[in-house]
This record gives sequence, C-alpha cells and structure tokens, in this order.
Amino acid sequence: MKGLYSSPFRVYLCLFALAITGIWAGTQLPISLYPNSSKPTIWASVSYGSMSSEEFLQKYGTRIEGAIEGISTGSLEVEDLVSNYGTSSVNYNVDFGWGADPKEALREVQNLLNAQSGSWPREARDSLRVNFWSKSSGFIAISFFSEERSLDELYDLLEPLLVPKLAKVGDAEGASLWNPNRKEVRIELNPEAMAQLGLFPRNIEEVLKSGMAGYFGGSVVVGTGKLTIQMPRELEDIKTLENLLIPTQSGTIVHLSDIARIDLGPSSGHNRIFKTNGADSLILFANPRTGGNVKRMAEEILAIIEEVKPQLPSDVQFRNLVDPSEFIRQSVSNVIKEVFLAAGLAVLVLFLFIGSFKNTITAAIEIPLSMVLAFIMMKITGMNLNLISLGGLALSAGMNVDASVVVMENIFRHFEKVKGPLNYNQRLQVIIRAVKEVMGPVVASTIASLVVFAPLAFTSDLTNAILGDLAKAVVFSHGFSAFVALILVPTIRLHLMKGEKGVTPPKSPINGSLLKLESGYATALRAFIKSKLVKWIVVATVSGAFLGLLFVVMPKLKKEIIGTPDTDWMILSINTSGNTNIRQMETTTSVEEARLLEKFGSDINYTFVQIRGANNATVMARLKNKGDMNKVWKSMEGEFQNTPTQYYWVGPWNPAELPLPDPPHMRLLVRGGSTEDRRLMAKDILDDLQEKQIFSRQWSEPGVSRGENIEVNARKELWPLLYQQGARFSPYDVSDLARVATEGKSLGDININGDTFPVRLNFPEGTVSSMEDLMALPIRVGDKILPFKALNDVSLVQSKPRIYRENGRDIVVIMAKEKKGEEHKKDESLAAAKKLIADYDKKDTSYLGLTTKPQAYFEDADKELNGALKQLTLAVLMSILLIFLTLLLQFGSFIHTMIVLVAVPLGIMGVLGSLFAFSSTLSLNSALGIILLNGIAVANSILLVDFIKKLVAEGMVPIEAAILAGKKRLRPILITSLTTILGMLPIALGSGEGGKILQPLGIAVSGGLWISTLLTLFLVPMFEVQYLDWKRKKDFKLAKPNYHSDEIQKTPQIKQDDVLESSL
Amino acid sequence: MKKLILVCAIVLLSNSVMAKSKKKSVFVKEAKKQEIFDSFVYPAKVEPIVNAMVLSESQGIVEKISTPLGAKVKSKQSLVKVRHTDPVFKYRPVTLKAPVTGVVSKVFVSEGSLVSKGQKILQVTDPNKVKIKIEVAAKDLKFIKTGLVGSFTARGLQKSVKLKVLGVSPFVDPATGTATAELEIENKKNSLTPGILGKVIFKSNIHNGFVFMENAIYYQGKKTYVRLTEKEGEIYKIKKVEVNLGAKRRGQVEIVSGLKDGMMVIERASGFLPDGAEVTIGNLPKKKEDKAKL
Repeated sequence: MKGLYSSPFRVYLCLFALAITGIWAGTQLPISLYPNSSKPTIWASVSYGSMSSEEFLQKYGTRIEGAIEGISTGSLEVEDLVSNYGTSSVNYNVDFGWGADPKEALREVQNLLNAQSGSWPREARDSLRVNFWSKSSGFIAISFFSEERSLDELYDLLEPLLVPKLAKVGDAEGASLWNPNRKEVRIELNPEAMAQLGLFPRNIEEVLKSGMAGYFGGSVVVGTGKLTIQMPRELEDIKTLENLLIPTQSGTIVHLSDIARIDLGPSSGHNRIFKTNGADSLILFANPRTGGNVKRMAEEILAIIEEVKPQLPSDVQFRNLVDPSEFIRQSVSNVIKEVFLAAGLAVLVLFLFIGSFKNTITAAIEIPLSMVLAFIMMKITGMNLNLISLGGLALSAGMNVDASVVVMENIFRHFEKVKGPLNYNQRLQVIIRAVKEVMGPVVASTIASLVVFAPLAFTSDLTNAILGDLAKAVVFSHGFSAFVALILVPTIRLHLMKGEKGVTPPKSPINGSLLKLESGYATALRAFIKSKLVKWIVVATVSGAFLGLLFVVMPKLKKEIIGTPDTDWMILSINTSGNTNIRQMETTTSVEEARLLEKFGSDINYTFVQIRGANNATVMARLKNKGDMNKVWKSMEGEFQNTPTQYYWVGPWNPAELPLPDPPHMRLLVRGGSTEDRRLMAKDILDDLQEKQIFSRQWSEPGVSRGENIEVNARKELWPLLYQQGARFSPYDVSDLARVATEGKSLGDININGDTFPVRLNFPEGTVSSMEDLMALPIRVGDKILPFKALNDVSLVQSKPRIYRENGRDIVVIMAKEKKGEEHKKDESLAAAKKLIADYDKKDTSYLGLTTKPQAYFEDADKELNGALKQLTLAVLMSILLIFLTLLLQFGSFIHTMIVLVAVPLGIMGVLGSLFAFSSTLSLNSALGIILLNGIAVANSILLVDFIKKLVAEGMVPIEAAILAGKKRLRPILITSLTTILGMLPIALGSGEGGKILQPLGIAVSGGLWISTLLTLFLVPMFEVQYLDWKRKKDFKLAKPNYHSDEIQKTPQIKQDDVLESSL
Repeated sequence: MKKLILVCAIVLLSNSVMAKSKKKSVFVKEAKKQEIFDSFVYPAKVEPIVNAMVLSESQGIVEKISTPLGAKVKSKQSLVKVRHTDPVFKYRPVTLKAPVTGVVSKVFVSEGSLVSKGQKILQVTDPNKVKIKIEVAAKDLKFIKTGLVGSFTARGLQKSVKLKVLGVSPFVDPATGTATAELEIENKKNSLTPGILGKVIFKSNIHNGFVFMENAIYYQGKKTYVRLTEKEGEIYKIKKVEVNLGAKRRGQVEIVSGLKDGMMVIERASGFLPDGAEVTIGNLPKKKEDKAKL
C-alpha cells in the first residue's frame, strides 16, 4: 500500500494501460438493441399423402411428438410443442427455452425427425421439411434505380455483383435482389387440343423435362486422349420450345406449339411484390435468420454495397428504404447520451457537496474509469452493448462515486485532526491510516449492494435473459469502483498535496444552504422524535400507505416484460378475400397507398409496400417526425376502418430482435370430446364472446369456421376396362390434370441465352372457375371424349377440422386481446368472459348436436410474465434475506437489524408510488429497480443506525445521538441518493428511441429513492431512539430498580458505557 | 377557461363522431326470387351428320384421284379412277362417284397404289350438317333426356349456340361409365367445324328461389342463419333469422325457407355483427331508398 501510493506514476500508468484496454474492449463490443439471448423456434412439416390426419396422428404423430418433447441435451430444452394436423399435412412448432443455441436446436430436431422418418410412408418421408421459425420483424430493404437503364438491364448489371456476396452474409436468411420484371416461360395448354390428342399435362412435362436436361454419354479413349461424350440440352430458346415434339396417344407426333401457347412474359407466379412510393424498382431484401443479429446483417449488406459501389456506373443509384441498423444505432446512441448525462449530473451533485474542483475531479474520475474497466469484463464474458447493459452502466454511474467520496472524506477527516505541516512520509502515513480505516466498510458496502443481484441468477430464463446484462453491467462497473476508490483516489490525493501544509477540507459552494438544511433537519427530527402523537400518526399513515400500495395499487399496475422502443415507421396492413392473383392485390394496394399519401402525405417521408400474396399486403410509411407517431397512428386508425371487403391493421413497426412473448389477454381452452365437437363448441363460445363484445378482438387456434373441400374419388371399378380399351393414363395423370387446370404447375428452370427463367405449365385463365367446370374437363378414351366426372366422383364435402395439439393435448384455444391503448380493460373483460363461460356451462346447447362433451376452462394467458414476476418477487425477498443476514452478522442484534430493514418497505413504497403516479408499468425493469433501491435504502439506514449506536456507546443520550448522527450523516446520504436520483432522471424522462425501454427502471429508482430517503431520515432514527430508550429503561430496571429516569441523564457518561457493555 | 371548455367540447364532439364512424359497415342484397337451376356441363365433340366413305369396288390400281383433299364435290361427281388389274376385266377402268355432296375430308390412298375390293379410298363429309356427341355420366342419365334444350360453347365461337338432345343411347359403356347422346344443332354460317371440342351446358331443375353468397350464411351448430338489416327510423339494425339451406351452386347458396321477399340480407360485413347492432350499409341501392320513402 505504501509503495503503491508513493509512486503515483506507476499507478497512473497501470490504470492508464487498463483504461486504454477498456476503451479498446468497448469499441470491440457488438452493438444490438437487446441482450444477446435467443429463444429459437424450430418448425417442421410433413405431408401425409394418402393418409388422413387421424391416421397419421395415431400411427406416427404421437410418437413424433413424444420424441420432440423428450429433447433435452445440454442447453436445449423443449418448452412448448404445438402441432397442427391439417387435411394433408402437419406442422410442428417446437419452442426452445431462453439461451438455447438456434443452430443446435435445428440440428437436434432435424436429426430426430430424420431418424423417425425411416418408418414413415415414402411420400411423408420425402415431404419432411425442418427450418427456423423466424419471429423477427426486422428486415433490410434497399432500392436500386437508374434513369438510363431499364430494370432488366439494371438487374443484369447488379445481379452478378451483389448476389454471390449476399450469400455470404451469415446472419441473413434468403437475401436476394428482387426484380419486379422477373419473367417466366409460360406454357398455356389448350385443353381441347390436349383432349383430342388424348394428352395429359404429364406427357408434356416429361418431354419438357428431358429436353431441359443435358446428358453425359460416357467417354471414349482415342489413342492417348480421352474424349467425353456430351449431349447438350435440346431446349435453347423459345423457338426450340415451340418445336418440341410431343408423341400422342394415337402414335402421331405434334409440335408443342400446336397444343399450347408459349411466351416469355412477366411472371404471374410472384409470391411477393415490393414497391416504393408507388413505383416498381429493384429491391434488395433480406430477413435475419433466427438468432441472427439484424444490425450486423444490415451492416454487412450495406458494406457489400459500399464495396460494389466503385464498380457501378454513375447513373446507378440506391436508397436505404428500411435500415434496422440505423434505428438500432440511434436507439443505442441515445442511451449512451443518457449515460453521459447521468455521469454529468452525478459530477454536478459531487461538486455542490464537495466544493473544490480538484476534489470533484478526483472523485468523479471514478465514473468513466470504472465504466471503461467494466468493458473489459463485458468483452471477456461475451456481452454486447445494448439498451439493457447501457442502462446498467447509467445506473451505476451515480452509485460509483460513493466509494470515492467515503475514502476522500475520511482522508480529510484525518488531516483535520493533524496540526501543522507534515512531510511526505507523514502525509503518506496519515493517508494509509485513513484508507485502512474505511477499506473494510467500502468493500463491505460494495459487496452488499452487489449481493442483492445474486438471487437474479436463480430466476427464470426470461428474467435472466433480459436482466442478466443489466445486473452484470452494474456488478462489473460498481465492483471496479471500489477498487479504483481504494487505489487511485488516495494516490491522487497524496500527489496533489505535495508541498501543501495541512489540509482544511474545501467548502461546498452551497455550504450555507447545506448548513441550514442540516440544522433544519436536526430541529425537525428532534420535534418528530419528541412528539408523542405525530410520530405514531406518521408511522400508522406510512404503514397504511404501504399496505395500500402493496395490495390495492400493485395489482392495478400495468404489467409488461419490457418496453419496446419508438420508431418512425407505421405499418398499414391490408387483408382482403377472394382474390386469386397477386396482381389483383397490387391494384387494391395502390389505391390504399394513394389514399394514405393523400391523407397523411404531409407527415410521411416515403412508403415501402410489400404485397405478400393475393389477399395480403403491408404498406410501411416512414414518418417525417417520430414525435408525430401517436397522432398519426390514431388518425390512421380512424381513417382505415374495416369495410365489408377489406380489413386493416395499423401499428408501429419495430425491428426488435428479441423474441419477447406477446401473449393474448385471454386463453380459453376447449378440450375433451371429439375434434368436430370441440370445433362446434369453440365456435359457439367464440360467437358468444363476439356477440357480447367483451374484448376488442378474439380468435381461435385452429380456426373454427366451417370449411369445405372438393373431394375427388377416382372410380376404381372403371380402370381395368379402361386399360383394356387402350387408355394409357393413370389416376395420377387425372389428378395432375386437375392441378394444372386449376393452379398451374412449376416445372423448374430453363436456361435461355444465359438467363434462367422459371417454367410454368397452366391452362388458360378461367378454364376452371367452379366445381362444375372441373367436372367437365375433357379426357379422351378411345374415340370418346369423357367428362372428368365420368372417371371420378366429385363432391363438395365439409372439410375435416384441424387437429391442434399443445404439448400432446388435443385442444382448441380461444384467445382474446384488447386493442392497443385499451389494455387496462383486460382484467374487467376477463372477469366478464369468465362469467359468460359460467353461464354457458349452464346453457342448453342441444342445438349444437354434440355427441361428446368437450369442456371449456381458462388458462393463465400471461403465464410467462406472471411467472417471471413471481420469481422476481422471490428474488426481491431473497435479496432482503441476504441483507438481513449480512446485517445480523454486522450488528449481532436482531432488533437493530429490523430497524435498519425499515428502509426496505419504505423503498418498495417509493417505487410502487412513483410507478403508479407516472402510470408506468410493473416490468422486469421496475422490479429490478426495487432490488436496487433496497440496497441503497438499506445502506443509508446502516449509516444512520451504525453511527447512532457508536455515539450511544460513546456515552450519548439516544435522542441526542440520533440527532447528531442524522446531522453528520445527512451529507453522505444526500450525495449517494442525489447522484443516483439525478443519474436516473434522464432515463425516467424516457427521451429518445431507446428511452422507453428503461423508463420504468428510471421512474422506479429516481421516484422511489427520494421518498424512501426522506422517510428513512426520520423513521429510522425515531425507531432507533425508541428502542434504545426502551432498552435502557429495561436494563436500568433490571440492574438498579430504584433509579429514576431523570437521574440517568445526570449520571456520568462512563457509567452509561459500563451499563451498555454489561448489557451486551 | 372558456377556451378550455370549448376545446373540451370539441374533443368530446370529435370523439362522438369517431365513435359513430366505428359502426360496422355491411353489403346487403335484397331477397328476391330469381331463376335457379342445376347446370350440367359436358365436353362435347362436333361431328358431321353426313360422312360418307368411298370404297374401292374391285381390286385394282388407283389411276387418278381427280378431287384432292378439301375439294368440294357434288353427289354423283366422279372422284377416282381405279383400273382393274385382273385380265378378266380387261384392265377396265372403274370410276368411283361421290355418294353425297360435300367436301373430300380424307384421302386414304395415293395414285398408283394397289387397292383391294372394299378398301377405303376417300371420305366425303358435308361440313354444313353437324351434330354434337357427348358422353353422359350414368348418374346424370335421369336428367339428360331426349328433347332437353341446352347450349354449346367453344373456344373461338362468338356466341353460344342452342341445341337439343336427339337421343341418348340406352347402353352404358362399362369401361367409361357413360352413355353416348346425340344432340341436334344448327350450323349457322358454318361456324361449327366438325371435329372441334367444346362444352355443352344444360339447365335442369329450373325453379325460382332465393340465392345468396355463401358468406351470408352463419352456422351455429347444426342450425343456419342469415343476418338482416332492419330500418328503424334512420338507422339500420341487425336481426338474425334462422333459414334452411338448399343446394350450393357456384359459390351461391339457395335458401329454401325462412326468408321473405324484400328482406335485406347481409352478404359481407366489416366484422362480427352482434344481434341488434347498428350498422351502415355500404352498397345501399338508390332505388330502394326511394321505394322506402313511398
């Protein structure tokens, strides 16, 4: 220690080196919106071909489900399995727990299903697909345009430059350059010509496929050389396609052009259309893969474009339409600003209390230093810079100065006692003495305020995933602050004092006010303690308020897991029904987009449209001003009201990559009975809910509306004779005919002059537009032209209800949710829904004609959130227990410990009160605020109780001791509290994009702390005096029963000490 | 203060306007009996009525074919000269004559070929006189009967052409499960070329009734309902009535009972419609309003 302080430059150099490492580590930390945790969902689908859903479920499904549910290796644990058995295929959604590695999860499910598939029928085995199920709504979209080139020319220019590089972006899934002019080769068959020749689409498909392939014909060794025999593909262009020879049933051969119209035209099979501001352009579009970092993906793609840019002609321009990385950068930089602001405010508080600029700097240097040192630990533990970990840094900024202040004050205190000038060695001795004196308490109090985070490690994965980073950031930076305070502060002090004589502590700039405050507080405290009635009224009021807040206000607080940041993107989603072609939706969407721009054009910067299918599209509008979001949102909701033909949804877009649970407000399970009966009953309940309009939105999983299918059964009895009569087709050809005639069929890709085009086989549009048309499709047998219905029984049947299973239970789930902004009604609505179900159970439901008896019962919809909050409550209790045990060890007295712990309910009270007052939410963040506040409040309380005890032990009367202690400890308590309160204030105000996420934490801490500090300053000394008085009376009665209380005060102080000591 | 009250009033007013605009909107269709029928659609082949085969009368060599493929011929016009190869007949040439007036539709042999007696030489078809042949599925036989009137359409044909069932074969082919039917059709302007394929559509079970889009039907267990709008003063309210459904045809459902003429049935709505809810009608026909006023 001696060597350390006396060589300041060595200390500075070491810390400087550490600081540089820390800054380097800080720049290396990846930036993201939320902590680096994932909760992968794997999706698998199997078609069962000829089997029915029940058959497949019985024979293979239960076995598959059992095996999936049993997955449990290392970090992998299946949390939920949802299986959905439709008419022809089943989907499995496998939810893994927080922290599971997505790739490992995918591999595990893949391996398991591959192993199982050995026993499945071949068609089921071939249809097995397993992939990630992405819940992220983040994506990047960049448009390319040029005034001199057509889109095709531009595409031909950009595609070879960009697409190979895009494939390397590891975080992206299916990054591609989208060309609105994408062409396809369309072969439109003439149904009559086909029938006359006795041809089926499959005959054409076979000829086409062989024409599209090139063959290898072995090789010949000629002399010493080897010649390979190659048979290049037949189809080179549209001409060769038209001249393709098709053998017919009667043995003649026709050209493909005789029975079909062939053209290379704009693709009709687009499954997506992108537009920006109403115009088509080339769009580079990419989604992140599950667990992928959307910001890194966007940055890598932008880097690729920058890399390619020099190779592009000057007329080619691009524009970032949707760039999540920009959004995330902004959010994070906003919080970084808040961290700086917090640090600045803490320094200001320090200056006001300490005075001297030099001393303020000495103590304040700790804030950036411990933060930078924390970066090293963050780098080592693989954390990233996100809103949560930055929140932790902001939080600790205020707490971190405490240790420095304590060390510095003690150094001053020791120098105050010394008279006259001191030489270097004497000064060193004094400083070492001073530091040694507070070393224990500083380390202990730091550990104490960190120990409260320990229980967090045992909470649920969700809590851990989200709050882990915050806790770690606080632990790292606060831990380092003690280290810095004990090493750097004394060194600087010693260094600065060179040549100085003795030291008088500098005066605070607001010393006068502080002195007044101290004496005011002392007077008030004296009056409070001495009062006979007031103090008990206050105690009663406070306890009443505490209980009220705990049991009345807390249940009313809005609950959420964690807030989401603001954005400047609004989404208008449009749904229709009955469209068969995506081009129809394009027209509808243009009309709606024009309407949006007409009404809100002044608020909108530009739009980005995604048409996702024939009946679904989203228009994204980037607002000019983020502040207008709520206003525009509300008026858009007013403007876009559902019509009988179009349904709208309006809301903000949020590219958050953390799969936060977004549960419905109600979950009603219908289970038992047959699948059809469950469907009927669920539909009836759903209708009742809608009839009563309890919730603003309700739906079910699976859908319960009545569906119909066309069922085609081949008339098997005809086939033997048909073959005898020379029919050369199979029932498969007939079903293939129906498919080509209705939906058309893709036949892979064809290369024409270096470009690849998809090939589509279809019938002229409108050939089959009803069941009657399907039944009349012509099929030639011999000389006869038969209708489709002669060979098949075609009928309209009610479709089989989907079998929906959650974790092996056959159920229908009815879910409901309140509209955005009306969430507070949910408890009321849920109670109404419960009443409705209670009435429903008594109702006569014979009109449903059920043969079995399904039952409806409610399930906790917010299971995950409630579970997390429950565990957090447990964590709070555990941290209180830890504080209790630490205190018990320190004081050795149960009563003293309990008095110190009075601060805890006061802290909780402060948090709940301010959350309620600012209508904030009970979230993981605010629960963390409670834990944190307990630490700080108890530390304040300890300072008081410990000092009172010490003074009383030195012989003071309890009340005087309490007042003196309060007066002396007021400044340190205020410094600690004010630095934290002001540090959290910018976050509590929730400015900026990222602000909203941490706001509940800010409100909890800054709002709660001043309430608890104020109450602690009065209630704790009061209780302490009460106890000491009572104890003294009791002790005196025990020792000398004749003593009068009046005489006690006159007795010499030594005797008091004796008494106290003897009592211990 | 006054300003504040004014602002509050405006806010309240605008809120109430907003609340009003939140009424669901619906599309209605007036219940009105209309012609309903089952339609039977069949692929149909146009065949010539007159299709005569010219056969060789004896063994010989085709010396000359004077009418090439597609040539118009008159009845008794000489078509082909076949010279006997048998010395008994002194290599006498035989002239084959057209049995009917029409067009040479097929030539089976070439000049110089040796033909035997009874071999096909030419085919003469009258393209103006055509009939239609269809294969009737066995289960439809009870509807498709002689005298039934239908229409014929084909790709490239401007308008559909009327036709009538001439006769149905009483024999169902066990291989195809169909019986052949012949239909009479007028070949105006020779627009129907023999050999082309088209569709024949018959209407059957023609009657009057109510039909609505399937969306209009609301199922509750085994029961079925439609929702009506009822006018109360200036507002429209929802009323649920139970109906019985008939057959479904091309996305439309027949309602057999439960409806009366003039009822306004909701076919599409912007959301779920609770009984008694107020709605606005998105497609209110002008005419109807006038009627209501009268």
